[in-house]
Amino acid sequence: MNKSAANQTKAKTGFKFHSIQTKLTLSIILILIPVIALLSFVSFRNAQTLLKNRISEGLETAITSRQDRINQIILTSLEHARLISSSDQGQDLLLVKDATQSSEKLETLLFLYPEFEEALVFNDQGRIRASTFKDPAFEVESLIKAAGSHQKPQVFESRGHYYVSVNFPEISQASASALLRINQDKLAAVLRDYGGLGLSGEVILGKRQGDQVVYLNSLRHRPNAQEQLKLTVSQNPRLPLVLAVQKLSGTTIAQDYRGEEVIASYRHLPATDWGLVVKMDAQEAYAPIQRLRTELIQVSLLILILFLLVAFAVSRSITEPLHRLQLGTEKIGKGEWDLDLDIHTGDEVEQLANEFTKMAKELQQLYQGLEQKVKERTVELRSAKEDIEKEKKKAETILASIGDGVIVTGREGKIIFFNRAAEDFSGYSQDEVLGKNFYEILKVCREKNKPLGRDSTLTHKALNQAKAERNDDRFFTHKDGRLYPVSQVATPLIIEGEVIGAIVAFRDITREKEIDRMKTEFISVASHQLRTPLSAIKWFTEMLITGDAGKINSEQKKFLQQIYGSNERMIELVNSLLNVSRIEQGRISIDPQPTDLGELVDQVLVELKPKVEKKKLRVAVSKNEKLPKVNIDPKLIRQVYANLLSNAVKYTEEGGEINVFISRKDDEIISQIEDSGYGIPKEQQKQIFSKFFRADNILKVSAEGSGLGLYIVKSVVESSGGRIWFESEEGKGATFWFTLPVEGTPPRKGQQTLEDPKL
Amino acid sequence: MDNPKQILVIEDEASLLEAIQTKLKKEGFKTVVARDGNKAIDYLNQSAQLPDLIWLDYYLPKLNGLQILEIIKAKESLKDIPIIVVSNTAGQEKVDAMMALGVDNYFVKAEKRLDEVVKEVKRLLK
Repeated sequence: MNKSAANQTKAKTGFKFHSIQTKLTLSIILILIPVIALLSFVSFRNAQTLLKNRISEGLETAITSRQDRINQIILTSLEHARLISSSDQGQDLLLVKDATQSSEKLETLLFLYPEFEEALVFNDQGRIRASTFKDPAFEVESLIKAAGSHQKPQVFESRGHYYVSVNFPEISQASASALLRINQDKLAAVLRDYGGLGLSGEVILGKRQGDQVVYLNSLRHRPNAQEQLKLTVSQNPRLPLVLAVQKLSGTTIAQDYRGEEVIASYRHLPATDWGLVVKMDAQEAYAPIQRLRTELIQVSLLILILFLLVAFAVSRSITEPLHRLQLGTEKIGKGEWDLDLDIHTGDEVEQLANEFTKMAKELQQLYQGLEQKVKERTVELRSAKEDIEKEKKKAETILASIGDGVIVTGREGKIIFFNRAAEDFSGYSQDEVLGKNFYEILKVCREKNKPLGRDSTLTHKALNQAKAERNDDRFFTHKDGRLYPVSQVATPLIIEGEVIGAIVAFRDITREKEIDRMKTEFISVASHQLRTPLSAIKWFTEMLITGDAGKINSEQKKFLQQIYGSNERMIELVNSLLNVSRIEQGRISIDPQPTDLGELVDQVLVELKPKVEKKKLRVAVSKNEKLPKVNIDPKLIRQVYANLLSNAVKYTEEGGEINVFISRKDDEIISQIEDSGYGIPKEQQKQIFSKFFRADNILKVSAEGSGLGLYIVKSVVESSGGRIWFESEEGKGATFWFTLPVEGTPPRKGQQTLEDPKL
Repeated sequence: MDNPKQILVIEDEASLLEAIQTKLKKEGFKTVVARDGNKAIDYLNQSAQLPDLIWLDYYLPKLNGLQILEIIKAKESLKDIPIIVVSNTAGQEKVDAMMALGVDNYFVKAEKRLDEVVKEVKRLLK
């Protein structure tokens, strides 16, 4: 966050640390600096050399011209001196004995030669013949001495003046010499000609005097100091003037009388054995070089700065539009669609900017379109939501109004809904139970003090096995701790193949159970109450018949037997009523055990034996050898056989036939009981299994029979998982079949088994 | 008959009692009658001579057959006396409960002849 803010502020100030500008600028500088440095250096060196050469040349030219001019002056002086000496006037001069007159002639002669200012003529003894020198202090003798004696005219210097000494040609054995003082103007002019030598340049003439070199002219920078500044040859072997007087010539750099570094050209003037030096302060001479260096540096810097500025400008021209582009994106981020990017660089960036602006416009449209859609959708959703709310309210109202308790749990069994009826039954309020596990709240039990394992509860089975189940035998625990019996049905809630919860509808069946219990009690009591007098009659009658109360006659016995028989029928009726009532209440228990059906049939037939023999009936049983034992309740199925066989015996005339077949077909055991008896009339066959039904044709024959037998048989067979049917033709007999599943009957908990019928 | 066996008959129905007593006497047994559970228990506790067999009904006033059976079977001195239940009760669970406590046999009055029951008594007392 801080970094970008820093970058932002830097952007505003025009400098970014990591930016195109910096990169460009740095690259340019890094390239330019060595290049410019190299260029400058090379140019400078070249210029320097050139300049130095030029200066040297200049100096040499300067010295050469001055040398020439001085030589010219010397030569001219020599020439003119010769002329004077060989001229007539000169000759005349010598002939005149009078010094004054000869001096006048000398002066006149000198007018012809303005380059000579003064003159002196003297003879070989040293006697002065003529002189123009007016100054008495002037030491002629030393001058004559300085002149020396030469054959040829000589130029020389003495005490600041320059003279030509010339010999007159010999006339009349008189030899004379003349000394002519040269007008220094011309020489001075040459010596003062600083042209081309700048402010520091000067021309120096010097002559050797023993071991010393003496300056002949005034030093520019130390006028009148020649005397102090004369040089010692041995001590200054390298000085140009010293070198010059040693007949050497050249150009060199040395230190002059001021201690300044100078560049000097030096020549030897053979005519006079003088040294000529033309010098210039090195500083002044090389000043151009300095200037050049300075200028080069300045220019380099200027170029650098210029390039920097250019780099800056160029990179800016790139980054500025980019920066604007970036601002544009920020604008879009804030939801401003109108990008006024103002980029007209005419290059790819401008193209990009244009595309970007276009994109922003399209986004805007899209966005607005979306906004519109969202608005519309929101309206739709709101109305849908209201509808849903309404439905929800409806559903809630319905649920709340259901008379049965309804509990809805999530996948883990946590209660997510608990209706009003559930609250009433359980004593808990919805708030108390929401989010809690159903098992914790309901505390399901089988009976008092027999809590049911969670895995056995209907709800658990619904949740984990996706099984829907109904059960009436469990108890829930009320909030106050008491158990109450419930009838419940639990169903899994499945969405897309996955169990997401369960819904349990339950009812407090205390009242029903109470009623049930009362019914059972009633039946028990009723059966007991009915049976008690019947038992009494039975036993007393029995004792009478067996003679325990005394001997009885045969008629008495007959009557008593009748009483006994009727009583037995009533007992049987009571039993059948009890069975029927139990069947109707679903209270029959099924207790399957591996049973040999054949054995059951045999047992029943044993009991029926007396009746069979009495009616002389032929009974045959045939069964498959490989008949497996079947898991059925032997007590119940025995009663089935008992009923069917007893009917067969009852409703077949004397001498008739009864056949029993037991066989296996696929996954069923089929028992077939056929008789050759009265049969069942067609129009009554529908009712044969109904309660209390006795067909008309046998009613006439036998008053016995409650009509409940087949009803009971059908109930038992069907409860055992089998089917029962028959075929019959009146007068021809009847055949009954019933099946039992090979896999047997599942056990069923019930309160009762059937009463044994009276066979 | 010397030393006739004594049978304690616990039954409240008068008519039945008469039939039972008549038959048992005829067969040479001595009978003691208790017409409700409390009387039966008192007799068993106080009598010097214990019965050789107990003939027990189910539906009785004060204590029912199951309760009496529990008391008898809980007592060391009484629990080994042969005991048959002769009742008209049809309730399977009641039957099971009594059988579970250890009765020697169970008869439904209305379905058994008196002499059949007596036969069983004789068998048990052999």
